[in-house]
Amino acid sequence: MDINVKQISKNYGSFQALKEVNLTIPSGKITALLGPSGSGKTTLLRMIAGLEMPDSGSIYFGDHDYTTKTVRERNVGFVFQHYALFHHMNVFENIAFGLKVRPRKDRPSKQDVQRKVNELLHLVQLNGLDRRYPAQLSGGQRQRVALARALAVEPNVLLLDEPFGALDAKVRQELRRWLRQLHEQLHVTTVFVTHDQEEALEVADQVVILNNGQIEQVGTPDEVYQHPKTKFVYQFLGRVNVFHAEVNDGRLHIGEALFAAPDENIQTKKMIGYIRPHEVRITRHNDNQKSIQVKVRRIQSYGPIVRLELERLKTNDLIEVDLSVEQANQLNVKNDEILYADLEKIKFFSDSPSVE
Amino acid sequence: MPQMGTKTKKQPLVGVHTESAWIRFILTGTALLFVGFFLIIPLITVFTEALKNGLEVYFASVTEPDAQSAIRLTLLTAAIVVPLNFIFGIAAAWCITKFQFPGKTWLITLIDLPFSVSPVIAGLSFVLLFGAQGLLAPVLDSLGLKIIFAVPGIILATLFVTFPFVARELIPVMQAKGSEQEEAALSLGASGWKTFLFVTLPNVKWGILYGVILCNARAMGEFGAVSVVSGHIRGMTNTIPLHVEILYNEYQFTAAFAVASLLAMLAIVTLIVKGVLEWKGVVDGKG
Repeated sequence: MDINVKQISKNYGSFQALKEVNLTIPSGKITALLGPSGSGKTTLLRMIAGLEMPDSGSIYFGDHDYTTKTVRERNVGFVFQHYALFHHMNVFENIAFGLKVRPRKDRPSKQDVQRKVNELLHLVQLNGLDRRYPAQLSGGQRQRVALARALAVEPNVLLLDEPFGALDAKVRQELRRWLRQLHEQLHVTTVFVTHDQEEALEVADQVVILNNGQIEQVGTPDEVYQHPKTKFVYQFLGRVNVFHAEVNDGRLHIGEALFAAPDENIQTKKMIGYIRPHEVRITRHNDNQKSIQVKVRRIQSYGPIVRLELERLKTNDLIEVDLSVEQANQLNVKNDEILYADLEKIKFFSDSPSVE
Repeated sequence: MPQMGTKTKKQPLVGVHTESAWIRFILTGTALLFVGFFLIIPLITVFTEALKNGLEVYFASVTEPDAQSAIRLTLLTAAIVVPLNFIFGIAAAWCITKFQFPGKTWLITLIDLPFSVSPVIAGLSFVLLFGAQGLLAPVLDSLGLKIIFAVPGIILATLFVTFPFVARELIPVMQAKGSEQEEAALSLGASGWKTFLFVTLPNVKWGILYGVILCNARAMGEFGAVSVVSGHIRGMTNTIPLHVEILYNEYQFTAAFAVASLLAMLAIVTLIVKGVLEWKGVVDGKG
């Protein structure tokens, strides 16, 4: 079921958590709400769930206006950051909870509950742990119980708040892949909140980047990473080198390098350029007019990449460049060597007050 | 439950204290001396005095009609006051920890009022309100109700004095729990009542029991406020503490101590149950 968020605003006292947010969450896909803390991503998720009510705006599930429906009526599966398992119930009772609290006429029989819970235990790979209590499970296992519990009610939409936030790196990695696989089996519309850009890009079909209670960009992981629409998105998704460019004769100057202005009738005097470390090309000769001279300060090699720390000759600014091991071997870079950094792939934005 | 998750809870204190041995000895000795002098010795005295003239006299003092009537009244009072405070305590703790509303800090302060007001003042204020010359006297007279120098007054006064116990015990427990589990239950389709019954209540059951036990101990032992409103009518408006005082004033020491030993036993049972509950709370990781 697709979800439409229309002109949603929410204030907590004088703090504006969300400012007229519009968003479509496509049916059957995984959507990531990505942003730094305080960006409004969790507030948005809780509003979709019905755990918070918006000050203005509306929320549609399919064609139905759900704005005033309570969390109970929305039939959502919500997985909390710290799992919120019922500590006094064992795994079986936790998962069966949503079925057992139904009004008598809709309540499944004991056998049906048993069958359903067993199915879910199998799905989340926790067979045989049904008599354990939450305190006897590892973090990853608790997370999976929470997921099974949410899925037991066959929700319209699955909502996860920082689902892997409290787990260590290795378990996170495993659970991410597992969540993806699970989604391919179930195809339930899923929304999850994260502050980890890698997680969002790896797991989601659609990434929504939030900042200061507003949406900065919506797109596929590839779109938002390759074609960031705003300075914030550029900076938030991975490492980036920043250059200040002067506008002169309709062209942009970064030191000796020249670039065409993005807009011919450009009015501003200054622009700001972003380029990712792997987008910088390193050469020994200045073969186009888009390179600047740099000196190698540090060569750091780990895993499949070699990271160069370069110092711009004229300004002493530091630039980071990532090369593959093959590229680095071919170039055979040495410390204190003078090289050219080709900035052809740089992207310019107007130099208005920058958003951090 | 196996010892999973308890690893981080109980860190031995080895190596953190720098005080020398004799400072530790003095501190521990002082504490033990105080406990022995003010708690253990008086407690032993109660029982030795009560049994000084033999078991027969002891049982005679406890089973004598006025004593029986005092015991009955005390039990009746507790039976009414404790459930009422149980309900009030849960309601107050619930609204204070789960909702935001104006005047919340005021409510918290007001709940503590019976702790800060002398019980005698509380009793007096009830006399001024419900007594023969009291503000509500005309209404009560026309209805034929008697509150002061009667059982309802004793119950009201006890209710007032024991008012904070359950709420005070529950508020920190419920605050520590947060509302995530309730939110989870609601999102799974549970009604508010089922959420309360199956999620909130089991989570705070040790806290509630603890509060109820303290509330009960105080309800049975309250003297000041009850003394003002009771009128000390033997066999009618005397509770156990009041009965003890009367016997004592009449130089019936053995009888006084015998009846007092009932309250002392209640205190000991309360302490044991409290200890067990705290231990259970720690073991289960629950409030």
